[in-house]
Amino acid sequence: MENETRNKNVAQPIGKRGEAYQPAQTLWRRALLSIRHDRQTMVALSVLLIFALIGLMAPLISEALDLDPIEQDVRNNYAPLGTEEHLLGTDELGRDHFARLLFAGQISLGIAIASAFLGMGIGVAVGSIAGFYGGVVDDIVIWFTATWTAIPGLLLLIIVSSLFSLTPFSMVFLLGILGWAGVARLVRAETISIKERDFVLAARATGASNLRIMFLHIVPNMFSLLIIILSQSIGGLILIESALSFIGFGIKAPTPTWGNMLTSALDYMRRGPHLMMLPGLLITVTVFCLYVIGDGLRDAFDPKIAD
Amino acid sequence: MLSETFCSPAAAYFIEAGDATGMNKYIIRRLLQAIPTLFGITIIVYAIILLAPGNPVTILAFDPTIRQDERERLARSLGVNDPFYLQYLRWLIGDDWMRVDSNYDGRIDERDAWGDNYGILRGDFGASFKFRGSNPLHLIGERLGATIELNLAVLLFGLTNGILIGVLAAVYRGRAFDRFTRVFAVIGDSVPAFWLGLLAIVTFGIILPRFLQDYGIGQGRPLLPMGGRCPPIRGGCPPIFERLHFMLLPTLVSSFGLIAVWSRLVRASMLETLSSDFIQTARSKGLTNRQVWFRHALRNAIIPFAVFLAPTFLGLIGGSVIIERVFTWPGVGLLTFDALVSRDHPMIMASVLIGSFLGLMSWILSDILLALLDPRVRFS
Amino acid sequence: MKKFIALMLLLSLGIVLPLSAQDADVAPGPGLGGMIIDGSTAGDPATFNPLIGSDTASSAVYGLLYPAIIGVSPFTGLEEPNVAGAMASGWEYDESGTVLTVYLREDIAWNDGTPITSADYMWSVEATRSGQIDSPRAGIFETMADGTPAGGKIVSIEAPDDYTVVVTFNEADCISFSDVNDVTPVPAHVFSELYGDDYAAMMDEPRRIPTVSFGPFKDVEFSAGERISLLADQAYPDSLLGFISPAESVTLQVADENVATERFIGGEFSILGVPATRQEEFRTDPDLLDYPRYEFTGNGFTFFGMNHANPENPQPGFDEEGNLVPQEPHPVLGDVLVRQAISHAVDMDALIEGIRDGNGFKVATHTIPTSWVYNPELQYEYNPHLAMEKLTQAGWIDHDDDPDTARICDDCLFAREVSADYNGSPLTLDLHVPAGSDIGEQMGLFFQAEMNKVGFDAIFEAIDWGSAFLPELVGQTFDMNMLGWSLGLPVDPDISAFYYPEVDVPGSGFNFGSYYSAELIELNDQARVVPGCDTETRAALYERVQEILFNDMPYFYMYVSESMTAVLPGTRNWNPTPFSRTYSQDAWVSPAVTTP
Repeated sequence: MENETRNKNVAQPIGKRGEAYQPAQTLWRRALLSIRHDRQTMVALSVLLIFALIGLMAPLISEALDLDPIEQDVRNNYAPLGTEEHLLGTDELGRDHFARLLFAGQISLGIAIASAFLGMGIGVAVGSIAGFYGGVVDDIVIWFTATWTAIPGLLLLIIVSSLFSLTPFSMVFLLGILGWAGVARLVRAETISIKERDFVLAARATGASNLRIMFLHIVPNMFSLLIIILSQSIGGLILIESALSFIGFGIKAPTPTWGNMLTSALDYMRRGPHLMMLPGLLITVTVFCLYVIGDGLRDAFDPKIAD
Repeated sequence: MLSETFCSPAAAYFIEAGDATGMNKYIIRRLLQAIPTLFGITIIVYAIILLAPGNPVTILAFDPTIRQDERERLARSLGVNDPFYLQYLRWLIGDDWMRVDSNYDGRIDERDAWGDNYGILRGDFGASFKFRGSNPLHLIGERLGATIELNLAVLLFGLTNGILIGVLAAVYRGRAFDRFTRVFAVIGDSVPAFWLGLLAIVTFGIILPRFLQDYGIGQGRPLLPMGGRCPPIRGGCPPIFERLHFMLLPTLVSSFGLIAVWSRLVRASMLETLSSDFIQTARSKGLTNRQVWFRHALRNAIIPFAVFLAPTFLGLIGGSVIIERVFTWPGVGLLTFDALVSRDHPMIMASVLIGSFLGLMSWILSDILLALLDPRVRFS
Repeated sequence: MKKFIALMLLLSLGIVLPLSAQDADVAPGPGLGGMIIDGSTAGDPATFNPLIGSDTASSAVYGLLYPAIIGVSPFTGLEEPNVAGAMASGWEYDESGTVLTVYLREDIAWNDGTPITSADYMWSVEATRSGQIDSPRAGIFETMADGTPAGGKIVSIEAPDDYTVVVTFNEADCISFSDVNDVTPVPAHVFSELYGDDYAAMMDEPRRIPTVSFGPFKDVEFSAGERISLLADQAYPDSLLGFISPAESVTLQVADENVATERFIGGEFSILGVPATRQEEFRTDPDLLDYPRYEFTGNGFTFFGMNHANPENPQPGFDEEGNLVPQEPHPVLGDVLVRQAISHAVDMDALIEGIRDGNGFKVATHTIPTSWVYNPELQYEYNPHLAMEKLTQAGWIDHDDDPDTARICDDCLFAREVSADYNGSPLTLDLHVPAGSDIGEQMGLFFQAEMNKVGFDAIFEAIDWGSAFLPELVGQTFDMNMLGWSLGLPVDPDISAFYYPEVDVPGSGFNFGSYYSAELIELNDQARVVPGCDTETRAALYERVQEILFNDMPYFYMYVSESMTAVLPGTRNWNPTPFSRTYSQDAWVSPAVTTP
């Protein structure tokens, strides 16, 4: 009962709140079952999987179709949709738009996924250590996290990205660093509630080491929570990448991303509307799918809401 | 979503259910804690600024007609070639206790005067590099109103609609309204805001009015202003209710995220509350649906989210630059953007300091709000 | 005669005359011509005080409020007597060419009725020279008031009477003439009352609203981040029609160029400097064809700067004793043959046609087509075979007979002169453009593709202006960086600011590429001291200068961009000139601008 009150006050936006804990297996089976019936989530999941697959196979696809994202033909620029040899037209330099979108997707998704995982990794490590050990460690982490979250994250992001030229790698690093605090907070709360459970106490009784308990027993039991956070933060990070491109601090040419393709296409919104619509729609659809999946997962893992 | 990813309620750590030891003590402690936090932020940001490649003088005076000597004079007068600790100290405690190179000859000797900067600790924000001699605080002051005005409008509009939609979606769970609003709000939140903004500007400014004109309606003029905060008339900005149409598009575009997040939070929380015992009790007393939903259920459903006010507001402030840029809203975001591009150190620092201050204050405020709303919460 | 040739050139360049050019007699009357609304991306003005301002946003405002001492004609771009809004009615040099006497008009007054005299100019001169204010213009003087050297040419400026100003230079110098105009006269009676001798006090109130002015507009109203508004000043004597037609001139801030363009199309602005990426729409889009537009060859050129010295080891042009420092050559670009090969490798016509929609004017030297020294015969030849030949000749060989792979050094310049170890190195270099300009990025990509076709391995990247592009450019650690210069008026062919060893200073100088040619400097020095600054004699000298620049290729000069200005349909009396898009603005009749 005491735990229940505490959890309410901690005000988790996602994840379970207060219900009796169930063994992980049953929870997962139930969740999978309920997702299978959630048509919206299933559609979003398949769209996203297709995008990811296409993105991963970008080099193969462009080779198979004999499309080159680099080859220019400036005298044949702004070709419209459905042009022979260029299904999605050509851009301002006469490069094949389809091939560019493929490679851009690879990078945009790559950045978002990698930085979400980085932020999550740091957050899980910090949060679970704080929650597991408690005491002084917990106090320090709490203070540090509170300080960190007091800085307006977006402002800091804009400052750093404007003062240093970002490459895809440094951007992953930066976004990961800025995103960990929220994860750490949720993971800490979750760890505190899990560490008193029977199976953890049982593991402790058998003499398992702290690290073993933490990473084999506690962390796996919050996978549902982590997956939900992940799907939502990847969506947010794709939007952040495109917003940084818009103010000129994002990934720079010649590396294509959906964000910088959309930004530069704003200059040609009358001459080549498809140059603007396609990257814009791809961003929107991808982020939409991610959010829908996050929602669907939450419903699936939260029996009270999903019935 | 931004707010969830980047800002999480720190307050939650400090609030524990337990003894009532009083809010005042807690607030004073939080305020005192804010001081070292602010101090730490300034050191970190100042180091980031000075570590960054590039020199403000090169950027400010990138003009071959400016002579070499003048560029050096400028560098000395701005003090940008001094070591890090000296620049930070000067920013922090001023330079009126030491001689500065006031005749810009590259030497500091008795012909030079004492500095005239009092430092941030004595409330002097220094002088902007780009806007020669202007006080950054004054420059921010000119624009802070616009930013707060827009963000409050977004907060108000987004929260009201988010909560309303959340409640109705919970009540009509699974029905058309629920499905439609969930999809619609998420779509709005998934579109890059700058793109949505530009599309909105073009649609209401050009496409729609000209389409109507073709059918003999109107004269093809923009239906809504395509940017700015006030009509271009002399004599100052008219009161807010006379220029609400200027706020409409920026508010709509930047509220989508809020509506999406809050409608989901409220819907989930409402579902839980509606099935709880005290609501059943209320129903059995014969209260109308509306009374049950809005007086009893909603109040309990939104209490846990009071702490989200701070990150929401922070996220809005941080993201201001995008929406201000699209809609030419004369706020602090654009000013900070300009300061970053021109490496105007005192301006950047002033923006960071004020942004972080507002951030810390909004955390404290949302803690207080939470305590006022939820009698179970006490401060330890 | 020269002027006539220049004029013919202008016409033969295909400069489009405004479609709306109309007689200047249709304005309904003083203040009845509506409101001019201009969109500006330049940001807030730092000041309204011409003595401390230097940014474009500021000068756009104070340029309307204060006279120039010597006017620049909007038709020729050259200094001329009796230009509207300027003080000089004539000037002459003495025989030595070092003493300039400027005669001032006696018929103009500030709008409070006080006559404008030499005292107004002198107050500004004293203030600038005092050293008390942060003025970027103090460098026109030889010494400051307290005797510290300032590095300029002007020894003294005196006013023997109310309508004469005498300027003494330390040597006869054709380009220092324009320095006189760097100091803007202010109403001395107002300023001395406000500040007295305490010039530094001006710095404390940079945004003080001018109360007394001389120009078509007055009464600034400023709202930060938003708007600058000026009212018509019917007391202005130099207006085209005898009165000021528009009632008000407003500049609205816009942060984004595309938003600015859309707002103009929507009718919220009355005039637009059309961004390069949007110009083609105004030429071809049927919805936009009825917007009157004016296209002209601008006064700025775009180029790829090439580093001649080794980027690993940047050296200043002179050492501390003033001796020339020998520069280690750039491994690739140090060889003039390689630079010339690049000029043959890039199809500039395709670039201009494809990326600039046919609206750039190809140039091969530092002069712009509207200048009196322009030599149309100097043109880079597009010839990839020649490019490959020159590379082979320079010791860069195609070792595997595959033009797609990079050539390698086989006894190239760097291997010969610096280190034999360099043999076998690939022909690779970095092409950088500032991020944020779509056209720049496109041109960089185009250059990369063209150069790689002849055996380069050019690596293109758009990099951030402040944190990457400028540091490597002025730090002289770049290979090829793209940049554009927009030249101030009057445009002078002098090259001392770009190619002299004095300005080859890693970290701050403008001879980034460490280019040095003794003959070029000799010619330029001669051209600077031509008696009477006779343009014909100077042009002959600069003909040779251009040949040197053309052959040595310190830069890959690309093109002079076409500028376009458009106004709302129905605007009357809009007569822009190549040197002033707002010429005749005091006669405009602007259609009512939409304000819902």
